[in-house]
Amino acid sequence: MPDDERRLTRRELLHSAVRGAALVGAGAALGVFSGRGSAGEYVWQIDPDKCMQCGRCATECVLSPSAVKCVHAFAMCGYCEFCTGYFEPELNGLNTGAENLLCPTGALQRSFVEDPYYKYVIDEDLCMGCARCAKGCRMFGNGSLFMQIRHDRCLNCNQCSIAAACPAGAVMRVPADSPYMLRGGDAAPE
Amino acid sequence: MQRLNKTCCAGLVAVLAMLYALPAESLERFPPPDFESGFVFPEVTKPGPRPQLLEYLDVSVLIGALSLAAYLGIRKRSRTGLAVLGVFSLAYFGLWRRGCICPVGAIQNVALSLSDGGYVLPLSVAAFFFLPLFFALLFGRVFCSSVCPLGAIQDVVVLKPLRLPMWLEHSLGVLPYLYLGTAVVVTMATGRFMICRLDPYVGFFRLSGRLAMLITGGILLVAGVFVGRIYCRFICPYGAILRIFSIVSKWHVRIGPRDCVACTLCEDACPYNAILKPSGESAPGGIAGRALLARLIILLPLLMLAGYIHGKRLGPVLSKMHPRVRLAEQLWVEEERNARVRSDQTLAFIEQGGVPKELFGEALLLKSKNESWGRLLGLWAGAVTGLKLISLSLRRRREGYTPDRAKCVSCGRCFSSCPQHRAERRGLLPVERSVPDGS
Amino acid sequence: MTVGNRRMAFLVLTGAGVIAAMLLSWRYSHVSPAAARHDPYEAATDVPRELIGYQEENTVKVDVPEPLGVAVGPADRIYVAGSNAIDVFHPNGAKLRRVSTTCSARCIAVGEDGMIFLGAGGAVEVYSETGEFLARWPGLDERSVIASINLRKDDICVADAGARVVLVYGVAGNLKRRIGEKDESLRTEGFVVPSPYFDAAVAPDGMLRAANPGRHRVETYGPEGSLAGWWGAPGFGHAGFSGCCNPAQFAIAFDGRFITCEKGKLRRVKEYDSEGRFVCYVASTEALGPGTLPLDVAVDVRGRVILLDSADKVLRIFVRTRRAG
Repeated sequence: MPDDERRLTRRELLHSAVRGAALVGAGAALGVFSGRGSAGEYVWQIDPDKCMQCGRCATECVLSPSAVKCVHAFAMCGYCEFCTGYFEPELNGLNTGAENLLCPTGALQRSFVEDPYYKYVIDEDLCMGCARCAKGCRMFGNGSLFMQIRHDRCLNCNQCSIAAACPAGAVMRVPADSPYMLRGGDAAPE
Repeated sequence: MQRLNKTCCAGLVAVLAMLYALPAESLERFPPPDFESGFVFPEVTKPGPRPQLLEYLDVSVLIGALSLAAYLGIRKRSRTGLAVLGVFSLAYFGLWRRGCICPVGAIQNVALSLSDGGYVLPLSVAAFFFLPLFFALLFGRVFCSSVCPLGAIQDVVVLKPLRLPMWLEHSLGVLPYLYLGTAVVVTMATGRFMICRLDPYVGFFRLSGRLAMLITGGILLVAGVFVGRIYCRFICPYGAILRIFSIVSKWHVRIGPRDCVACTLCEDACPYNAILKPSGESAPGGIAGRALLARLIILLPLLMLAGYIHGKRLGPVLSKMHPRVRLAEQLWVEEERNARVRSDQTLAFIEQGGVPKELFGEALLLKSKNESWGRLLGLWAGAVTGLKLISLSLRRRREGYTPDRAKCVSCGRCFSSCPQHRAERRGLLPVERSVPDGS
Repeated sequence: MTVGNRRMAFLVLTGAGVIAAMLLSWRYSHVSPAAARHDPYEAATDVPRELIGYQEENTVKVDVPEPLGVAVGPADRIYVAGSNAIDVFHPNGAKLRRVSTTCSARCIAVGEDGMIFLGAGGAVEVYSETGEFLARWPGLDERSVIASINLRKDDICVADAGARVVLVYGVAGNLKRRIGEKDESLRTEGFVVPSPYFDAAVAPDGMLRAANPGRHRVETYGPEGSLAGWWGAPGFGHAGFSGCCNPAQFAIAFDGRFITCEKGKLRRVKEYDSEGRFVCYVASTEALGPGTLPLDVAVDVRGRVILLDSADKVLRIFVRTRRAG
């Protein structure tokens, strides 16, 4: 019986020692981590200067349709009538028949401003993030159409599955207080 | 001919995709047309991410849920309460918060913040990682019981649990430790988050995801009808940490409210094989047992050494997962073959003004680093195996039925199997308010 | 024992099934990004051999920093302008000398007397043959981006992509004419210049030709600035001008033929006759190889086409391999 008592005490002692050490250790670690400065949250974003419009954003996002949408920098646009982000290269005439349009979902829409300028806007509910328009614009035009992760849709996964698939390393963590990397303009949130 | 054309075209496409690195800058300054109709540029909308405040709300909900789980499991002894809390957690952390951020995944954020100086661990992520650990040190695996959404989704489908044979249970039980080590090493060596990529249930929280992951998750859920909490028991790397902490926890749930009378009624109550029987006359081990233990203690460093030596072979596996090394290898192959058709990766690298020589140097360095990471992982695997064998050979004297503190997820299923518990609930016995099982 | 065995068999089968199903699903569910991608420009890069009417005669390395402009000067010497320097080459490609300047030139023109005119930012800078700074003609306004300078006799055509106007100066820097601003009485519709590429030159017939890249055409202007005509159309086919805004550059040969350069993914150089009919390719997209910058072009008296490839930092000199017409 005394033998039994002693063994229990020994185990108990061991356990409380380990527990104490673990508590102190975890507490210290938490302290170190929270003491490392004002650690804001991160969100994912695409660097448009690195993006090569490969189209993986449309297929790799865990959301369907993707949280990546085309964004238009209006101040950079040439307002071209013959927009290479809007039209297929092989046209059957310069009209807006569906067979002439690059966008597979009709998300890129244009309206007449004044001769010879047209305004192009993206309907984000239709955009699936395939980057065809951005590619056409980047290849031949000013690059005013470019891809961005839209934070009203993005789930902010711990690791973005697009980031893992991006061939250009263009998807990166950015501080949540400047969540966009816009071309031709500021990046502050609304 | 057509194929040749295609190849040429693809080559051209590759080549020409590189156009416009420099004009891009000048374009940003190039003036837009002068509109005569008074056209004004529309605003570029910038919908913001989730407000910081809500992240702290998540942390508060986590603290609340953990406290409630501890209260319900240890003090109140209410299986119904825990089940309801589990459904709540499934709804909040799972369906509403879509599974991110969770403590399981936070392991990698902690690891990344250690290896990548550019990544500062956000406070809320640190809270999600450490809070369940503190609670485990105090109350056991209350996080697993009804706070973890991954646990909750599995817990609701346990309908016809089968008892796994102990040899299988023990051998599969090593996997979480190996997975933990692998995930940490992979994150630190390559920056990749394999736990998140291989999370089988998060697809259900998001109601979308990769088909392979959804199928895997579906199969695991169906299998989970017969083998309770497959992920928690045999995969979850966070559970591996919680197990250790739970073993030394201050308090822990008990099967019955009073001293066990070894009535055997709770023997089949646990779907997770986590109830230890009384040791009876067979334990403790005696001379033979001690000799075995001594041999195993000698075996431990040998296993670790073997792991260290053979761990080097994991280096190439890690390198294959490393984006920079993969890029370097792809580029190497293309340069060797003088390829006209470039892959997207190398195309992007060249477009961004990368210098192949520097990349190759970087890749060589990474490869040798990855061998060291591999050795570390080998060491870990050796240690885990050795320690598991040692723990198997340890026999302790137990008077009654007790929860296996490592395996028990504090779900409370065993409560009602105890006649004393039932008697208390019916008012046949006064409710025991003594301190629950503490060590 | 049978119950135990059956249970074991069930477990093993379940386990094996789970693992097999997982492996299968991982193997076959991966979406191939290549399949999802789509390249609509592939067809346009295919050029039949018989449409290529020139052959590369010489390739000359250029070591001026940031070479962006090329021009042909007296005695067919080739001038390449870059950052703070101009290199002068013999027509055979041998480097003759370097002239130092104090600006980063985007484009260049050289007079018959050897005077050098550089477009730098929004201004024109004038240097003597030996590199002595002579004058600076400031741009029209702060939007000015001088994209090209061409010269015939006493007319110096300056194409301002920012202000979207062609300015014709005299040698002394006197602004003679502003051409191409929207004016109904002159029937001009204005230049559409969506990106900083714009070109204008006076043809041997004395009429000014200006690229209107946004409309994909080359326009002819009369002496008083009226729009006298135009040719060219958008299109990825051989005769058309591709992309959003082309031709980006052109040069006019002594006999009035046009050599046009297109920027963008279809980087191609083509010859049109003086009426604007497509004749042949000088260089197809395939021949020009990798490059990150557009081209500048000049034609010498012998009719050779001199291309400056800014990215590769080379001059490519092309000779005609088939008879004109």
